[in-house]
Amino acid sequence: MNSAKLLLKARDLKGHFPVGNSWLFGQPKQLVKAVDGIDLEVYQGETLGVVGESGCGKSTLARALLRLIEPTGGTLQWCGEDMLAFSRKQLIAQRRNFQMIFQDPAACLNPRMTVAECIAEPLYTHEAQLSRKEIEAQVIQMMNRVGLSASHRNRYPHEFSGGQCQRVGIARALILKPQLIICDEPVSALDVSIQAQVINLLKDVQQEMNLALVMIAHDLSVVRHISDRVMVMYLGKQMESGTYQAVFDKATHPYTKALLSAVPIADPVASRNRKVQLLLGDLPSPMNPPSGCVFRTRCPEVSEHCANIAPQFSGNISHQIFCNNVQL
Amino acid sequence: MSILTLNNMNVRFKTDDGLVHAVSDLSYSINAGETLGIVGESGSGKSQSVFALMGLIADNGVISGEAIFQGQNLLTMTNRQLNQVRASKIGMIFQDPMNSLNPFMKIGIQLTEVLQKHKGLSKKEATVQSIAMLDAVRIPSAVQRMKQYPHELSGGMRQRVMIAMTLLCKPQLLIADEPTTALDVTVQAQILMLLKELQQEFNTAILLITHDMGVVAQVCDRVLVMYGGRKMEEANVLDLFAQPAHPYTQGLLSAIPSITNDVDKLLTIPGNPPSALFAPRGCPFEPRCQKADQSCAEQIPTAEPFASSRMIACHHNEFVNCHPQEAKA
Repeated sequence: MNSAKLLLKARDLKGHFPVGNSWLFGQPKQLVKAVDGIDLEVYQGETLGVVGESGCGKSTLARALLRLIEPTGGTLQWCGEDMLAFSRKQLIAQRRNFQMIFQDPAACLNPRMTVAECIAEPLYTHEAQLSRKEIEAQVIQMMNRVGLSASHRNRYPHEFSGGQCQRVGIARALILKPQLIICDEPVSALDVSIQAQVINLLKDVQQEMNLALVMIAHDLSVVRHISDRVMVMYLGKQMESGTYQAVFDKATHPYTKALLSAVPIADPVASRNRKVQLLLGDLPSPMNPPSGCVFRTRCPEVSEHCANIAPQFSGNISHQIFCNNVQL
Repeated sequence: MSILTLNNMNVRFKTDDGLVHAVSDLSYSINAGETLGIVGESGSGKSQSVFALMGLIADNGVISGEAIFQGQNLLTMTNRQLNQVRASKIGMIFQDPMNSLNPFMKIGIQLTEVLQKHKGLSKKEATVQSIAMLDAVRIPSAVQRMKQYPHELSGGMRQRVMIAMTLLCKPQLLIADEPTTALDVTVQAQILMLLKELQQEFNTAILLITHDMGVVAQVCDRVLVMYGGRKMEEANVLDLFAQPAHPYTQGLLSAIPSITNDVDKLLTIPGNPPSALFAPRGCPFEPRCQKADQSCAEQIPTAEPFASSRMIACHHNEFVNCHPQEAKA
């Protein structure tokens, strides 16, 4: 893994949003710390899974990594270059290397464009020299690759099912032959049988094109299936990360353990015999996160000093956790 | 003892594009204290089949068949008669708790209203019982919550309020339509556990509609698998997962990634779910089925019983007409 090229590197990445203005000076009253100090690397050809409950900041992270939302702190490097220093023009030119797939396949396609136009649109921007014929040939080739019939190319998105729309989204992301694709919940809107088709497609094109994927999802079984490395987030912070075997089979952080034990297993015997570690209560508001360790309000292993000191880092290159009470 | 029996229920919708066959020839029964799961993908008719029971079908819907609840056919009842049954005898929880609570009314008023209307309690008695029920569904500081509006609660909390509301009249049957789909896994685990506990306490039968095989495995006693508006398979939960008989059930189970094991490649069901607009002449799963042949395209398979209280609708089932022991071998 370490011999692969480092594509994306984030250090202490922050995405803070001001909420509400005070009535007099227009100063923001509060900050929502959606992403608060995330470190990550993405290497060529690998899949990094990011999991967490809704509101933990995983979608904000996805967008901040591509500068679709401007990060408010930290550093971001693309192939060794400082991505935050890119001018708007440079950023647009570089975007052909990192693309994104969104959650709702129907909503991210323009309803007034045919699917061929949707798929070809990145080419108009980035490869303006191509003739119409060349573009059409590339679109047809890409549609065949993602399992869409090229004869449907002049249809509109509403004529396609959810799974097919997601294939269009994948084709659009792939057409520039990027090095990295960030997938924000790419299969959570799809039915199980269609979900498996799309996951297999993503895995296949990844191998063919030596693509790096960042897979944002709340479905832990999907993340385990597709990821090489996994990061678990809670309220904008990293809780545990490492190889998928480390995180799923040797989960150490109390949050990861609770999260894993809450996932329903499609096996009645196993699911009735296991012990579920129930987390009490709900996710605290990111506007007013708990002091010290953000997980302490729901943590089964909480101790007194968790309220005062930030969680300690422990671990090695293949497995890292942030916790005051459990060390690797 | 069965408390609800459906016989050959059909739900059709008249639309400008033609007749939509949402549910076709659906029969099942559910016993007191039992949890029956109905699984299927979107468009399989699982939600419409229970909306029809509760008289919640859209105006262009046409329902036929019968649904016998305590000796009465729910499908032929007038709204007035249905109001006697709904909430007091059959409760329903919907997928999105924000859309099913009135945003303009405090939680307390919405809860006490149910008791005042159906049980004729005074406001004071209703308040006492409502607070007790909020406690029972583990809502902290219930007295304060009564004065709050739905938007002040989190998603999991709202779903608890919905559950409390449906249980106020101690219904014999609770219909839960994707009750945890909008919730996170940690909150889902809390709600599922709560439903099971409350079921034991009140001996309520639960009809659970879901697309999540994991949820089914965890809470259901019996499972009914639907596809294209029809029942494909019905079985005890242990049998279904240990030995899925219908090709669709087999495909569905092998398409789920595992949380504990490495699978190199997921097995998939090719193709897309059917459109309900064009009722197929044969089995709705035929275009995607690997076992399909001419007879599947031409004739609709009827649900046949086999083994111990299992049913399957498939022309190519080797289990039908054979002894349970043989089937296992």
